Amino acid sequence: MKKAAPIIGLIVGIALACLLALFFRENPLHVLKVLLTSSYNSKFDFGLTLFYTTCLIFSGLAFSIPMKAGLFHIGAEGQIIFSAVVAAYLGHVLPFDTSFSILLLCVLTALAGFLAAYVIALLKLYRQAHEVVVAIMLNFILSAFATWFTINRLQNPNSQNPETHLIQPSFQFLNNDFLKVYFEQSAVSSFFLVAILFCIVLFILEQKTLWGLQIRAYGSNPLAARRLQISDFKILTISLGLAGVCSALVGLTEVLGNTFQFKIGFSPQYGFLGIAVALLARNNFLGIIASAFLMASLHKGASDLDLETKFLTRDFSLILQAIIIFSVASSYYFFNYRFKKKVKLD
Amino acid sequence: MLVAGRIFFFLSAIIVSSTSLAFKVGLVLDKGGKDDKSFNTSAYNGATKAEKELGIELKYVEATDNNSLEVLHRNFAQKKYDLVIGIGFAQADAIKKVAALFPQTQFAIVDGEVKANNVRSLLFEEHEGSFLMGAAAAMKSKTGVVGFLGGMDIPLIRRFQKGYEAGVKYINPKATVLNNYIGVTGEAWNNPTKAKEMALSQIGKKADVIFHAAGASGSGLFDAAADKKIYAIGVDSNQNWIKPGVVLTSMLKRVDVAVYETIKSANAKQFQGGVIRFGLKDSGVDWALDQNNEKLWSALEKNKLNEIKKQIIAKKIAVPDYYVTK
Repeated sequence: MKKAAPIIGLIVGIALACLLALFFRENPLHVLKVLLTSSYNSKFDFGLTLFYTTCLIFSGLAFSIPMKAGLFHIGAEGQIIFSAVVAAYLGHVLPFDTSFSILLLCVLTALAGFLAAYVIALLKLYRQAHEVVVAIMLNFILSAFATWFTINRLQNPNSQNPETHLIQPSFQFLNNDFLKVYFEQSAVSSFFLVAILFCIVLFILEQKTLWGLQIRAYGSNPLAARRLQISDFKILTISLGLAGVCSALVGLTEVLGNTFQFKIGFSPQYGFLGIAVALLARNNFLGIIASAFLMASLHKGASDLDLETKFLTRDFSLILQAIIIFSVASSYYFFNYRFKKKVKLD
Repeated sequence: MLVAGRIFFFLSAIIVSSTSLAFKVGLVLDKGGKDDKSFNTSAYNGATKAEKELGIELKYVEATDNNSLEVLHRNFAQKKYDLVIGIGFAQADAIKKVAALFPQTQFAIVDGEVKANNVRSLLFEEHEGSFLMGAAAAMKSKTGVVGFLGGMDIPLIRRFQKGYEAGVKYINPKATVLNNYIGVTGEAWNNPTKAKEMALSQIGKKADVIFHAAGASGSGLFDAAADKKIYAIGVDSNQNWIKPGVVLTSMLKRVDVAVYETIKSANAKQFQGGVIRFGLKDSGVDWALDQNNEKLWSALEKNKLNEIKKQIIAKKIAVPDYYVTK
C-alpha cells in the first residue's frame, strides 16, 4: 500500500483537477482526455514531451544531488541560462576540425556550469553565506550577464529576436540524430538517453560508493559527519559541482540538441520546475525519470488544454500542476503517518 | 484506453470540423497574454472585432514557452484553420517551419519577418512613432531632462529608444535623456513595482516627462507620474485613459488594425504573402489625442507635432533606425 502511495496520489490529484474543470463549464472527461492524449497525438508531440522530460530530468538532478547533502539548491535556473550562452558562444567561435571540438565544447560548457554553481559552495565555505540566498541572487546575475552578452556581443545579425548566432553547421550534428528523425524533427535528441544514463550512474554512485555514503551522511547530520573527518570542502564541491554540471546539460540539450542557438527566455523556468520534479520523486535518482516524464506531460498538456477547450486557459494548467504535486506529495505524508501511528500503538 | 481515447478524439475532431463552415482564424498570442493592456490586448481586440463584424470563427491561445509555439501553430494548421496569426517576434522561427509544412494554410506574423508565399509579415515603424514621442516630451519638458523606460533590453526596444532620443534632440539639442531598462528576463514586461522605482529615480534626477516601452510594467510609471505630478507617455495601445491628465499621449502601434485588415482580406480571399509595413503614413503608428489628454495640448503645440509628423512622412526628417544602423 505504501509503495502505491504516489500512484494513488496521482490519480486523486487528476480526479480533483478534472472536477475543478466543472467550475469552468468544461466537461471533466474531455479535459482528462486532452491531458492523457496530448503528449501522444503524434510522434512530433511525443518527441516534444521527451524533450521536456530530458530538461526536467537534468534540472531535477541539479536540485536533488545537493539535497542529498542537505543543501537547498535553487540556483539551477541561472546556471542553465549561463551555460546555454557559453555553449552558444563556443559553438560559434571554436574551430571545428574533429569530433574533439564537440567534446571540448561539452567539457567547457560543463565546466562553466560547474564554476557557476561553485560560487555558491565557495561563499558557503569561506563566508558562511546561506546557499539559498546566494543561489537566488546568482540567478539574476547570471541571467543578466547572459542577456548582456547576447545583445552586445553575440546578437544574431539576421534576426530581430534577442538571440545569438547559430552555432557552426558542423556542431549541428544532432540534426540527423536518430531520435530526432524518428520523432519527425521534434525537439528531442540523444540527450534524452544521456539523461537516463546520468540517473542510473548517479544512483549507483550514491548507493555503492564511499563518496555517496559520505554525502548522505553529511546530509543527515553535518556535525557528526565532520567528526568522521568528512570535509565540508569535499562534500560541497562534489554535490554543488555535480548540480552545476547537470544544469549545464540542460543548456547543452537546448543549444546542441534543439535550437542550435541561445534565445533569451528559452527556458520556461526549468530550474524551478526541477524542484517540483525532485520533490515528487522524493530525491530518488531513478524516480526522477518518472516524475520528470509526468511533469513534462503536464507541461505539454497545458498548451493543448488552451487549444482544445473553450474556457480553460494556460493558467488552468498551472493550477492543475499544483493540485497534482500537492496530492502526490501529501500522499506520502498520509500513508507514512498512518504507518507510524500503528508502530506507536504496538 | 489510449487507443480508444485517440479514436474518440479523432471522431470528435471530424464532427467539429464538418459542422462549421465559417472562415476559421487561429490567434497565437505572445507570452504576455491577452490582458497586458498593451501589445497583445491590441491584437486580441483586432481579432474580436473581426469576429463580430465578419462572422469568422476565432480561437485564441497563449504560448507557454518557445517550444510550445511550434506545436500551437502545427495544431491550428492540422485542424484546417484557414488563417493562423502569430503575435510577437518570438514566433518567427515557428511560423517559418510550420508554414513550409502546410503550404495550403495562410499565416501572418506581427513584428517578425518570414519570407514565404503563404506568410504575411506585419511590421511597424516604431522608430517613427518614438521620434514623435521624443519631440512631444521635449516640447512639454520644463527642466530639459526627459526619461525613457524600456522593458527588456532587446533590439526592438533599442529601436524605440533611439527614435525617442533623436526626437528629443530635434526639439531641444541640449536636453538630457535618461535611459533605463526594467529587467533582463521576460519578467521585465510585467513588473510595475520596479518600473515605479525606476521612474521615481528618474524623477529624482529632474526628469519631468517619461516614455515607457515596457508592456504591462508601464502602470508603475503611471503611478509614479501621478504621485510626483509629472507627465508620462504610454505605448502600443491608447493608454491616455489610465490616468487622465497625467498621460501626455500614447504612441499607438495599431496591431489591432493590422490584425483586422489581415483577417478581412483573407476572408475575402484576397490574402497575399509578403511584408507590409505600418508607419506614420498610414496611421499604423501614431500619437493618441482624445478627451483624456486634449486639455494638455495647446493648438500651437498640436500643430507643431503634426507638422513634424508630416515631415517624417515626407522623409524631410531622417529618423535613425536601430535595425539599420545599430
